[in-house]
Amino acid sequence: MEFSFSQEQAMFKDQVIRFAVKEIVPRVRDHELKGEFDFQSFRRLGEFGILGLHFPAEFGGSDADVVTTVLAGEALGEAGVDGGLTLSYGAHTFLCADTIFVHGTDAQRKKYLPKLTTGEWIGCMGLTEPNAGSDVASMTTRAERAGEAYILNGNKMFITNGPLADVAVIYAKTGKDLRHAGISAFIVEKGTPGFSAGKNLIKMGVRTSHTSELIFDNCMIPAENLLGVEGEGFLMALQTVEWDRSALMAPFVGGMTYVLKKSIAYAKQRHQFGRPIAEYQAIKHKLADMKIFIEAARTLIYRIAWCKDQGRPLNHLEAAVAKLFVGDWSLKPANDAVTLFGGYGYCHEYDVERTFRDSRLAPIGGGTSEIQKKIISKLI
Amino acid sequence: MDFDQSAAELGLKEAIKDITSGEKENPESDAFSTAPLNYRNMLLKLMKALSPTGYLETGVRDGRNSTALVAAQEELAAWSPPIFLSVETSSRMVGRLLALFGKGPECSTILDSLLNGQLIGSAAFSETNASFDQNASETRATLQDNGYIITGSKNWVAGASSADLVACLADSGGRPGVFIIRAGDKGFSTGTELTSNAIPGSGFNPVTLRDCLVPSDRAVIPDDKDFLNTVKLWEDQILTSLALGLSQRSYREALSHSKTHHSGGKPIIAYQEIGFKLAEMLTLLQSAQLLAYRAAWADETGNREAEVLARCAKVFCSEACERISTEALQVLGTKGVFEESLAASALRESKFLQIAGTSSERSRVKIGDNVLRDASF
Repeated sequence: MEFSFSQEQAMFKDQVIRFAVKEIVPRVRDHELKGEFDFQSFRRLGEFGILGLHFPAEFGGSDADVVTTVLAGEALGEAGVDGGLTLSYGAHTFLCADTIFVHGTDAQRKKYLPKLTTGEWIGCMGLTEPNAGSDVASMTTRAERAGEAYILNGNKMFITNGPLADVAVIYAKTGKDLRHAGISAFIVEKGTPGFSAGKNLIKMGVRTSHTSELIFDNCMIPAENLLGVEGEGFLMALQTVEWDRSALMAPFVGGMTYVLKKSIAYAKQRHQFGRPIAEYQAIKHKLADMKIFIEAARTLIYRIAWCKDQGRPLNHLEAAVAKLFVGDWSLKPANDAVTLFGGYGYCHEYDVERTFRDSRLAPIGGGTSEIQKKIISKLI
Repeated sequence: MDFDQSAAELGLKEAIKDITSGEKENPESDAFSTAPLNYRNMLLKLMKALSPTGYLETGVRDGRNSTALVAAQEELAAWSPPIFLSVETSSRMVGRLLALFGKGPECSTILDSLLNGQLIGSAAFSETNASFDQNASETRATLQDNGYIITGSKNWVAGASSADLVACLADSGGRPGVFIIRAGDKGFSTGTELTSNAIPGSGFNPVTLRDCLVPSDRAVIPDDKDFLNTVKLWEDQILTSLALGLSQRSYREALSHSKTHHSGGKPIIAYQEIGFKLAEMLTLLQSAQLLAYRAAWADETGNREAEVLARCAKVFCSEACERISTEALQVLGTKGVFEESLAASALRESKFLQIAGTSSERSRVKIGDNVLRDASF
């Protein structure tokens, strides 16, 4: 076993941190407070190459490996980029663009990927429904073939980038009586008659990422917008799991490093009873627990990324282990950071309350902790 | 980056598996009721078998941990925690002390015998009223013409009654030194085995040193002021691997029970309240394994974070062991409570893991100190 990053990977991580600290982080606090999506920062991510990092150059990407891609996500979190922007990036790049890249035709790739990798267009993915979350197969959104078109009817819920997206990858049932095998995937563009997004949902955390319902009311799309073949939609959704468990988790872990850095700086300058609180054992214990979480979590998500780089089929057990650990175990250090800052930790300007709110999504989004436990218990 | 185990890692691990698979499962269950002599014979037999595999000398002469070592340690610890602890104390503690800090032919001769499995070594570092963490020792070593006179007492010495020699920490004129005392040396005596919740079999004893003469060529007085910290990290690494082995035992026992014990017409693993516990246990086990392996890799490669990762691994693995074992006991139900189970003993031993070596509390303080010092933060 060997756990080092290449020199190029390590240098790239540093570059991403420097870029984010200079260009994105100064804008985070204001946007987060207002709950606004930061279009400028999103496009800067595109210009810097992060939105399309792992795609081939012909589609505007950099041909980066998965580990490097995950490092970039970790670097964004470590720099202090909020969980909202990194979630928007994740949904856009891995759940939307990557699905088009992996399963799309050449024509679909050429049409959508260059715009998505630059950030000119924003992408989203619609899988969850108001009454079908973890139980994906019970979705009720239908896609019925009508000559050279499909007609979509139904609703999707909690869709990251939903209100902003120019293009969406939508999962819908084409096989009426089938469960997983009846799910297909489609590309739907903004402005298509019958397709609309609901209002941005006001959330506890990741507030700069806009989330909404998507509504399909006799929405007619060309048959050529089918991704792959009918009935393979569930498999496509499953393939995004590797990204869910690595690249989408990485900013959470990076964010905890950011919190640790902030906590260290605060503990050194905050004096109580005549000395910096950093000198108290109780504070050191909290810092230690943050560090322990970060180091345990990093190794788990890089294992998923490395396996994907080797071209191995997804190990569902290891992926679920990574998601469960990051999801459930990130809450305590995030909470500890708020406590360490005392009253200031409860205030917006110190960022730790934001990270605390953002981290609460980790055990819910992309497959709840309970679903991970279900997967693991079935596989052991 | 490579998450696959290398041929070297698999080779040493398989060698341990080959040796232990021919032995009785859970040999320490016998050792509960056997005399120290029987335990000693069992230990010597195993160490002689281990010697040709290279296990005993792995990381001894260079003082480095490695992923191959952890893989093998985990295997041995899962087979028998007390034997693992005895073997590791003899090779990775006493052996490393002699290899890295010992001078002269006598130290080399003893080292060779330890690594050949001909001698068993034990380490006497702790004292009732002195903290090894603070580098304090009330045991005194006074230099005389023909060697050092050692006077004092040590406590909680693992395997003292079955060892051929004891490496004893003492203060030598303000400098810490380690003195190799043979079991029959005049002035050295081993007290009655302590009743302990932890690691039955290997036995913990107090030892007394009364004007015990140790020849100078069996004195190890390093110039390195930080050497006690180094020794402590060796001990912590052993306990980290022991935590992995114990966690594996608890998890495997609970998993096996959950698949064979039926309730309501189906195996209990089919119930979420059981299946989910096992999922949490495996998640902790795999997280602990990867962290322990990464810490060993950091040490092997001279990574600047090696020490802090080792401390993180010690805290995380020992506390994960407690959590895994308590959940395992819950899965075992009444069977786990009324019959002695691997999970029950692992649960007791997990507390030992959190206290022995650098305690969880001291480790956290040291991790905190490290991140506060770290310029990259």
